[in-house]
Amino acid sequence: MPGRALIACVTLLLGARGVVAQDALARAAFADGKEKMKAGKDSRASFRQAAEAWRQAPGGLAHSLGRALNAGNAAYLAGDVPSAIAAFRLGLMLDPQNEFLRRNLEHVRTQVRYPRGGNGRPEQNAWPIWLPRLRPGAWLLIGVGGYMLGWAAAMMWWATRSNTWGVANLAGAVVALASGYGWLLLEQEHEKNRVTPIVVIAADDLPLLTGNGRSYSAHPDLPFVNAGMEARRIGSRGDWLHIQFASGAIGWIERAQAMEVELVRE
Amino acid sequence: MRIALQVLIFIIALLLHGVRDVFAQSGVEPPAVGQPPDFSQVVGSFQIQAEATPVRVDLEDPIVVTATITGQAVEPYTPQQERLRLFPETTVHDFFIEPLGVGGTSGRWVFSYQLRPKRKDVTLIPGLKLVYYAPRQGRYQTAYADAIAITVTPRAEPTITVPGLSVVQAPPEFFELAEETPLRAWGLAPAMLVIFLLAPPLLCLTILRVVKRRTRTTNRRQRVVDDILRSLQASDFGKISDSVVAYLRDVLGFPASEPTGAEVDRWLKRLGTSATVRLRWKETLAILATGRFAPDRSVAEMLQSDELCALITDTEEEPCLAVR
Repeated sequence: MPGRALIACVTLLLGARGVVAQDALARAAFADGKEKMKAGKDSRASFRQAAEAWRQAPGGLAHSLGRALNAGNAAYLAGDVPSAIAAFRLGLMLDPQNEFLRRNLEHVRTQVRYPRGGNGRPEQNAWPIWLPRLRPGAWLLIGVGGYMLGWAAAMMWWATRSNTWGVANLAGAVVALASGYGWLLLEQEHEKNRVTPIVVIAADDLPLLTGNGRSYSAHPDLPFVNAGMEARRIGSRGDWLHIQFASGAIGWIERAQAMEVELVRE
Repeated sequence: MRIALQVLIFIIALLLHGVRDVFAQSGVEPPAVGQPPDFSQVVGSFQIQAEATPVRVDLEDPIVVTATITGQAVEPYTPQQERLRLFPETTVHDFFIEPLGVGGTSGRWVFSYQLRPKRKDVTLIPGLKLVYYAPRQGRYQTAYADAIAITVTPRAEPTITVPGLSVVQAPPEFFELAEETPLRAWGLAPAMLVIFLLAPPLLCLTILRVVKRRTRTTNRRQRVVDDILRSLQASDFGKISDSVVAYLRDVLGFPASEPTGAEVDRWLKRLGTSATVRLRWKETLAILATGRFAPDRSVAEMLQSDELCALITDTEEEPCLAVR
């Protein structure tokens, strides 16, 4: 028994050390890559090592926003655009309004070879321009606060019949409604990512087929897809994924040629 | 005879050479008056021709222009590249011009220049011109070469010749590492959400109910007081007396039906009424008691209804009774 307890303790310690060790390894590789880049040498291997270390760290990329951002940056600097996009999209599942992730994702998307005519382009962010980009926790606090204040103001208005309290009540209602709307949009996005996860194409010039097999013909409007293009998985069968692009094109692609981005917390 | 002939030939040759020299030297100085600003410091008789290669270049790529000057020059005013002014003044707006070298022989001088177009809309190399002084004519003259048409194309984008090399351009924020702080769940349990939604309206409704009840009690009390005050306007002593008793009973909660001054004084003291109001009540009830029991009601009729109304109003305004 004491032996088992000892093993458990050692395992626990090693596990904790494992997190620290992986992170340290990743950071060291990243720093090495920066040095090589400054010296004009090929730094891709170092950045690739850093990205892999973060991916393999306990908790994966879903562990924290910082890790997803770091892994995405390292993947991009290693020249791996699809992995970078996948990491940034995963980070945005954790915090849809993170400015750094959104900005870096936009930059990396400029390196993707999209077909002519707008087919295959990523979905546009439908966030209303008049609604501030806040985190879910912030919406929650503001909404609850506005709701409570609105009720309190309503009671005061009933007691005093003062216009000031009437306006305060209206303001509270508007804040609560706006917060509720913002929360609802985030919830919808979250649900969408859960039901139809994001798929990032991993290689260039891959055929998008009309069926789950190589004998099927290519999609008439989008016959080939390139690395970094983003779609949503609407189904799967064996080694094939049924995907849909934001432009509406639906087709099949081999599972090994794509990266699925799903938020799975360990 | 032979010797004389040779001497004669020698003399003639000397004379001819001298004449030529005289001819060459006389009037050979190019006059300063009327000298053109682009005079190339050559004297004699000349023609000029120009060639350019290539005639289709990218922007700022070199074109070699070869100017060939043929003719007779008078020493020392032979064509020298550093003194030649072959290109029109406007050429420097369209080209970078560099001399390359000199070639040829006497009578055929070859000068090379490197021209690089500055703009994409340059379409020709202007015709070269050689301004020289012709001593035979005694004036400055100009020899021209034809303009040369050229085509300037935009510079092509540089291509990476190393196979497999991809150059990554990244903004500075890609090189900064973020802290890896584990995330907290931002979801809200349904039960908590229900509590947050229901708590404010329930609280408000409760407060409103309490406030309403208080208001209703106050309103009812006020109606009773108003009725009593109206009834005090009657001139009948019996009604006045009944109204006073009704006030003491219904509004102040006094239990007895025929109150005495002392009893009311004790009751009001218990309620916390001021001494002034208690004294007034005592006096009023003393008068009412006199009127009730005495067969002669003239004393009682001294009680003014206005005074009674004022007493009741003052009693209502007592702080201890306002909160009841």
